[in-house]
Amino acid sequence: MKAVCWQGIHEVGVEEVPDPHLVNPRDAIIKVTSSAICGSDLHLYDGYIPLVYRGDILGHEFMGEVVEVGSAVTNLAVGDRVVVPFPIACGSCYFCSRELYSLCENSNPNAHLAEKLWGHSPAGLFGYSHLLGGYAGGQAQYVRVPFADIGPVKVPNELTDEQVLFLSDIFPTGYMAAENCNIRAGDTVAVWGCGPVGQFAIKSAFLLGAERVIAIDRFPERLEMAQRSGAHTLHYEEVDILEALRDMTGGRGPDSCIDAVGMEAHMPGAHGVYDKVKTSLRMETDRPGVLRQAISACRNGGTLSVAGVYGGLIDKVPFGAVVNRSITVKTGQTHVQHYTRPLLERISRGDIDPSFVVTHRIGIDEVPQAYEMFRNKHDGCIKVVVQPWA
Amino acid sequence: MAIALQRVRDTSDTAARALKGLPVKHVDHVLAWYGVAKALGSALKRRTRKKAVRLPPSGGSREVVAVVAGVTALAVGAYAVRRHYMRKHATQLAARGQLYATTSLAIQATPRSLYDLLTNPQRVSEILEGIELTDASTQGVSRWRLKSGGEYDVHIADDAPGSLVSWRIIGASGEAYRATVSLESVDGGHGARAGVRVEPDRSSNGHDSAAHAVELQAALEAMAPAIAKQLRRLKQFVETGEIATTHGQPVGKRSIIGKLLARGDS
Repeated sequence: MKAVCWQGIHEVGVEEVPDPHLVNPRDAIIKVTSSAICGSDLHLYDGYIPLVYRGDILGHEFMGEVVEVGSAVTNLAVGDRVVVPFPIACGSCYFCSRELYSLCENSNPNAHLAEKLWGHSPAGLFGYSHLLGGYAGGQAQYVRVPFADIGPVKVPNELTDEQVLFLSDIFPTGYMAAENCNIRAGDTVAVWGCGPVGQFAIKSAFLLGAERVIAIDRFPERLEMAQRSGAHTLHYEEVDILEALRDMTGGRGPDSCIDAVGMEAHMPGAHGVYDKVKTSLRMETDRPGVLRQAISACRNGGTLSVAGVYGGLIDKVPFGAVVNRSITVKTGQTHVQHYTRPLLERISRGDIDPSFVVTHRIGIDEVPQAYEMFRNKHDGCIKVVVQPWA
Repeated sequence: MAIALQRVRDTSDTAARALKGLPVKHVDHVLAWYGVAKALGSALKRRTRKKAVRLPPSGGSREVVAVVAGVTALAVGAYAVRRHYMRKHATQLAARGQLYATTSLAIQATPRSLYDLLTNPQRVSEILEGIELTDASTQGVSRWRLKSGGEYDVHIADDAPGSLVSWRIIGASGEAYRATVSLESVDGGHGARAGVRVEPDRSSNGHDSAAHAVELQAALEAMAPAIAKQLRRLKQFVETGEIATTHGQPVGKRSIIGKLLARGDS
């Protein structure tokens, strides 16, 4: 089969690899009909995530048709059309039983590596480094899905791939980011980053009752998309964000702030230079410019929700402000399995059509160029959908 | 060099007095080796000045050689000091019966069900990696073979159904260990804490020498990750009915380093 493989920093390629096969009784093999390139794939592409090896198959947003099931999978049948959550979860451990699926204790075969870096290990993820299991990802024609009786969700035929594909990651991720804000009627929510997760965070904030959403980015096409969702927009290179937010909220600050940017934040001014120098010298692994700004902007007693991915060590984060101004910080990899069914219902009801975010549709052979285009934000690229059989 | 050492010793007394709580001999060790390094560096420098040894002509290069020699001597000294304290530490731990490897995990199962599984060698052999059961015909006794080589007889040595089971493990060359799994109820009765402790069997002979204590400590340190891995496999098997793995999955063209690193995957 064809698969998109990591070949080095800023290098991915399409390679011929063997087809996957069932290994465990709870596995299924999925023929991928649609896959996507996620903003967090760019962290792998840019070399920010450790323990990615040449030849690793990328991709954690995918859906398709079941072509084979293991002996212990009784809820799926060959021919079912499913969307697959990016965290792999067993469904029975301490955390899965509390619906904290991205913290599954049994799905990361390399848990000992993650424990060394982070103290404890989270769940294994598809196509996201050996630190998180080393599982082959879904930017391929077929994927082996472990614990297939827990993750994949059957989707109705009347919905298109593009309407349900993003249940695998970015829609639940944006939704959880907004849900973590504990939004009340009349609230103002500020969202840093109008990439795909930011766009879903904006939509979700409105779905959950926010009165006003303020979207922050620097790319006009992203700000326009946010505007179409009803958000007020701020271009961070044109205005002083802290001043603007203070002004828009009568000096109080937004009730909730969502960081949908993560470890590769671009910041103007001294903070941005500082982080670039420190990450270049390997004295800091991530660039936390947005995190600093969101903490400073958030109103006293407000909530900071971090949906953007951070991988390692950051510094100069004003934690004193968090403590002294009673800011609640909520974060985590998304517990996708908790959200897939309720959000599928919302899509079926017509509350939201997630395909609004798609800007590019490509075949698998074009993926290497698409990574470059997505990274450099060329051609108005916001979301790329890959059709592996096109 | 003797003078240098004496000078260092005098300095070390002063330093030790200044650093309250640090025994004189510890400071002495470090500073003595510093003295050796310094003396060696100076000697080399003098010899190079007299052209007694053939070295590059520039003064800068001579300095480099002197510095490298000094650093090397320091490194050798640091290694010797570390080795000395490791031996001492291992001997003390062995004497106090504190030479062991330990790990624990919370498992979603009752202590009794875990006990029943652990006392069934056939079922345990389905879980453990890198070791196979060769004989379990006698109650309470089994024989296992490591895939990497070595055969072990395992006897149940202590047994408290539902809370503890302990095995005596004897290798072909006579080395003996004791492995104990203690089980206690946690999470309001929904789970169990399984604690594993592996230690040299105190009834076996010959582990009281310093050299043997160091060997045992090294063996236990090497064993610790494997013990943790086997316990995690047990947890996965009990909670999910299978063991998570990526073996056999498709992969693109690996680099040589990638191949080596990916070998460590489970």
